[in-house]
Amino acid sequence: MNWRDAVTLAGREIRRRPARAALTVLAVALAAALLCALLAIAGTARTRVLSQLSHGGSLAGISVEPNAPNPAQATLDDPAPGLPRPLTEAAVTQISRLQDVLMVLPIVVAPVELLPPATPPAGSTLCPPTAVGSSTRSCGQGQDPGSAATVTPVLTTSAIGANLGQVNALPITLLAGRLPIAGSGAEVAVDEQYLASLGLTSSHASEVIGTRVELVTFVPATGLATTTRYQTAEIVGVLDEEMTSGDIVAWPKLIETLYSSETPPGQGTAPIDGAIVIAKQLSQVSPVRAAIAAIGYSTAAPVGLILSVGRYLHVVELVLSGIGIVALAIAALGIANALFAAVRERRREIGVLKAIGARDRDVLRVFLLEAGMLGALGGLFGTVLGMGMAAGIAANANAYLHSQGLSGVALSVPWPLPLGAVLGSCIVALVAGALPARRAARLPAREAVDA
Amino acid sequence: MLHDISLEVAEGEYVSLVGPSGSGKTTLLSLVGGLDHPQSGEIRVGGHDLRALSGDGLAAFRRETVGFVFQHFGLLEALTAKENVELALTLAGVSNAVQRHHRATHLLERVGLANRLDHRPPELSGGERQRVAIARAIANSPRVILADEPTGDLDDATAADVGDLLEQLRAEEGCTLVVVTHHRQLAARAERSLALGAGELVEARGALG
Repeated sequence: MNWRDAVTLAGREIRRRPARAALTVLAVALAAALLCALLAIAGTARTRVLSQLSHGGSLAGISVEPNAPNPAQATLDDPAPGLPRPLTEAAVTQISRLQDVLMVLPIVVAPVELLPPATPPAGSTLCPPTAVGSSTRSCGQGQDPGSAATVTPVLTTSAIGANLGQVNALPITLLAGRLPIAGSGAEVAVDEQYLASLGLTSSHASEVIGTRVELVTFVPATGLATTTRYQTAEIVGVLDEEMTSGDIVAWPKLIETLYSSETPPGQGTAPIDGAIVIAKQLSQVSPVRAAIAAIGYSTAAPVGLILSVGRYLHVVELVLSGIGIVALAIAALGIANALFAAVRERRREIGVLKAIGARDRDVLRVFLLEAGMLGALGGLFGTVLGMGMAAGIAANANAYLHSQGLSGVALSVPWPLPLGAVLGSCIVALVAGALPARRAARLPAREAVDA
Repeated sequence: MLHDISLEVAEGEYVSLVGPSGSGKTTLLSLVGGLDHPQSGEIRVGGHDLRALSGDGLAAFRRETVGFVFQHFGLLEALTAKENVELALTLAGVSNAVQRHHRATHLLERVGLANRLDHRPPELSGGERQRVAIARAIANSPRVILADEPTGDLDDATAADVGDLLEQLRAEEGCTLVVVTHHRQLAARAERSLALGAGELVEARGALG
C-alpha cells in the first residue's frame, strides 16, 4: 500500500467516527493553543521587559560618555565616569572601526527653553493667566481654573539631536505619534516631562501631537552678551522613556539651527556630547566596552542586568512550556485512547485487510497516519486559536497599559513558534499512536474469521 | 482443533466443506488461506509451502494466490464499493489509479453492481455487499477462492444468486473454489463435498484424497 492510499484510508477512517475525531482534535487543539499562547505571551513579555531595560534601544547598545573611564568600576553596568574628556569625531571614527561594533550614533545635546503653547491642550490642569475665569474649553477641563492650576510659562530643558533614522538602535520608545521625519529642522518629539509641565498625564499624550512649541536658546555673543534665538517646531511624537537626558528629541539639523554659530555636531573637531554604540551581539558588549575604555572613554550598558533578567525570564518560559507540554501530554493520552478504541473496534477489519494481502507495516502506516492527521489538525487549529488568544490577551494588556499612560506591547511571535506547535503536535500524536498502531499491526490475519 | 486431515484439491475444482459448528471448517479454510499456521503437518497451495512462509511472504501469498469471501462480507465501511475492490489492487501493487479504477469498475459490472460503484457498504443490501466482496476476491485473479459461509447472512433467493455468481466466476477465471457452508443447496452444487466432524474428515461425497 503506497502512502497516498494509506492517507486516503486513514482519512476515511477518521471521518467514519466524526464525534470521536472531533473530540480528539479538540483536545490536541486546546493543548497546542495553550502552549502557543503561553509561549507567545512569554516571548512578548521577555521582549518588553528587556526593551524596558534597554530603554527601547538595542540590547547590545552601549552609551559612550564624554568622560575618561573609571578603571575601578569598569565592570559595572553604569559606572561613575572619570574626568571629562571631549568626545571628538576622530574618537567616534576610531570606535566605529572596532571589531564587533555594528554602528555608532553620535549625539549632541543643547540647552533650550520651551515656551508652552498659548492655549493648553485638552485635559490640562493648567491655564494661561489670561484664561482665568474664561469659559474656553481648554482651560482646566471643567475644573475651577483658578483653584489648583499651576502655571509654568517656561520649561528649561535640553534638546537631543541624533540620527533618528536608526530608531531601533536608539533607547527611545514612543508613547504616541511618531519621530520627526528624516532631516527635519521643524519637528520634535517631547517626553513625559513636557506633558507634566503642561499639567497633562501620559494618558493624554496624544493631545500634544500636532501642537507647536517655541524653542528659545541663548547663544553667546561678544563679551558677556548673548543672542536670543527662537525656533518654532511642531510636536509629532511623545516619548515613553527619557533618552539619556533631555526632554525633546530632534534631528541634528534643528540643533544646528538653534546654535548656528557653533560648529555643527559630527563636523571637524567639535565635541560630541555622547554616542550610542551598538555591538554586533549581546555577548560582545563587554569586549567592545573594554576596547572603548582602552581608547579612553567611559561607557555604560545594562548588559549585566539584561543577562540576569534574561535568565529569570528563561526560567519563566521553561515553566510555561512545562504547563503547555503537560496539556499536550494529556491530549496525547486522548489520542492513544481513541486509537486503542479504534483498534478494538476494528479487529475484524484489520484481519480482513491482512487477509486480502496487507502487510503488518501497511496496517501500522494507516494507524500512524490516523494519529498524525489528528495531531496535525489539532496542532493547526490550536495554533490559530493560540495566536488568537495571545492577540486577545495582548489587546487587553495594551488597553490597560494605555490607560496607565504606558506604551503598548507588540505581540512578538517568532515564526518557529506556530511551525513548531503544528510539528510538535504531529510528533506527539505519532508517539501517542505508536503503541496502538503497533498493536493493530500485530493482530493476526485470523481475526478476519474469528471476530 | 484439526487432526489427521489429508486432503488434496485439484486446480480448478469446486469443493464444499460442511459440518456442524465447531467442527473445524473455518480453521481448515484459515490454514489453507494462510490466515493461520498449522502446529504440525504440511500445507501446499499452488506450489507454496505455507509452513515455510511467514510475515511478508504469507501476506504476498494471500494477496496473489487466494481470494477470500467472508460470511460477514469483510468490507471496509469507510470505503465505497469501488474503493473496496481497488484496495485489493492497491495492496497487490497496482499503483496506476486509472488502471485500478477501470479494473474495479469492470469487476463490479461483472457481479452486476455497475450502478452501485460509489455506494458505501451500509448503503448496500446483504446480497450486494457479498457481490462486492466476491469482486474484491477475484480482483487479483487468484488461483484459489476461499469462501467462508458466503451465504450465511443471506436469504435463500439471494444465497442462490451468490452461489450462481461464485460458480460462474470460477468457470470464467478457471480458479479453484473451496466453500465452507451450512447451506445444503450450495454444498450440493460443488463437484466434491467434504464433511468435518470433531476436527476430522468424517464423510465425503466425490473423490476424497
